[in-house]
Amino acid sequence: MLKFCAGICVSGSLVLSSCDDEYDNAIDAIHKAHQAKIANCAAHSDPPACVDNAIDTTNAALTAFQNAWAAAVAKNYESEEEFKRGLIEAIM
Amino acid sequence: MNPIVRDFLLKIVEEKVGPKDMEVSMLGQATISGLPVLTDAATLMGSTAEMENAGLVHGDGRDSDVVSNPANPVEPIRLVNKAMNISIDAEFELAGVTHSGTLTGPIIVQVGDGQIGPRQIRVVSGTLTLDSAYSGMNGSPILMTVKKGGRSSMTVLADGKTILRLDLDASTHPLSFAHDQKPFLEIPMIETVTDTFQIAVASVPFDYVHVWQPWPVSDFNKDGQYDPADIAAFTQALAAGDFRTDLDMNGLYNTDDLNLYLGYHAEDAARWQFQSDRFSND
Repeated sequence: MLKFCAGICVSGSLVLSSCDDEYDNAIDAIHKAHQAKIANCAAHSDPPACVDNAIDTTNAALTAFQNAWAAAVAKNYESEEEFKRGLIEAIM
Repeated sequence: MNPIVRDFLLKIVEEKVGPKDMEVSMLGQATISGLPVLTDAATLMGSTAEMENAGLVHGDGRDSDVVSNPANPVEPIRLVNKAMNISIDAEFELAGVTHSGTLTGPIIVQVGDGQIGPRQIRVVSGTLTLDSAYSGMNGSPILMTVKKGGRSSMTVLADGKTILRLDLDASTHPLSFAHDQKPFLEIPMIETVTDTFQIAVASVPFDYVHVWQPWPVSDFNKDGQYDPADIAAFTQALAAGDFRTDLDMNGLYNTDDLNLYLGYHAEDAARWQFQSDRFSND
């Protein structure tokens, strides 16, 4: 059986959306949240500090997510559920 | 990791990665019994004090209490506990295979005595059983319990259209992690006769029937042993606000969670010891 997210995202008879898509969607969601946070900084009492904080938080989130994803991929999980669980574990 | 970043990433993963909602088709019926069932709060769940502690009732929601009709404040409504019996033939697709099964069980509801037509019905408690050839529990039926104090609701509209929304706890295993226990099941129904509802749904989204796996929280560091190192790891995680440690799922990380954990740990350790002794005696 092909391993889930070990280069290809097909597990048994279950045809899944590609891991690349899911990874990209997650990164995209982080960027969108960042943009929303930056937009909200306009109403903040200290906009520059708010922007700096948003940038720091987003960078930390991106790094943590990429590390967690790499750790989960390295485990060669065989199912989508296991992979997701492994990703959650890596984040926590 | 910064807890804010961690929680943010967990939300992203929950929404963007892995299994998506499963589609379930349903055909069945739900009937609210007119029989005087469970009119005594003590038979519903211990004493009234216990029910209040569990968030089931808050004074005006108590069975047989009299509350005001919001539409006509001088008119009192008596709330009565009744049982809604649900029986559904369900079909769902998993891993490319269609599974069929039954979803049955009593749901305890509170209805306004004598109310008909458009109304709200409070969902109090109950358990649904999903019985099918497929099971995330090694052949056992999956029990889904209505969360006490959860966000379940039931609304009947003027044309009979009804939405039953169940906030469930799908884990029958008290040791599984909290983040696996968040299913919502929304069942659209039509009230054909007062208190009788027909269910015919082509597809309704439902998550988390299938992702549950036994994962003993007792073995918190997952080294295959129940030992003091698990307790140390749990305590450390609890202090850090790790949401896996919120065992009573109340959003607080406190001694209640620790006490629950210690109970689970002692139980599992004793069971493990019993098995070990049994094998060595054999």
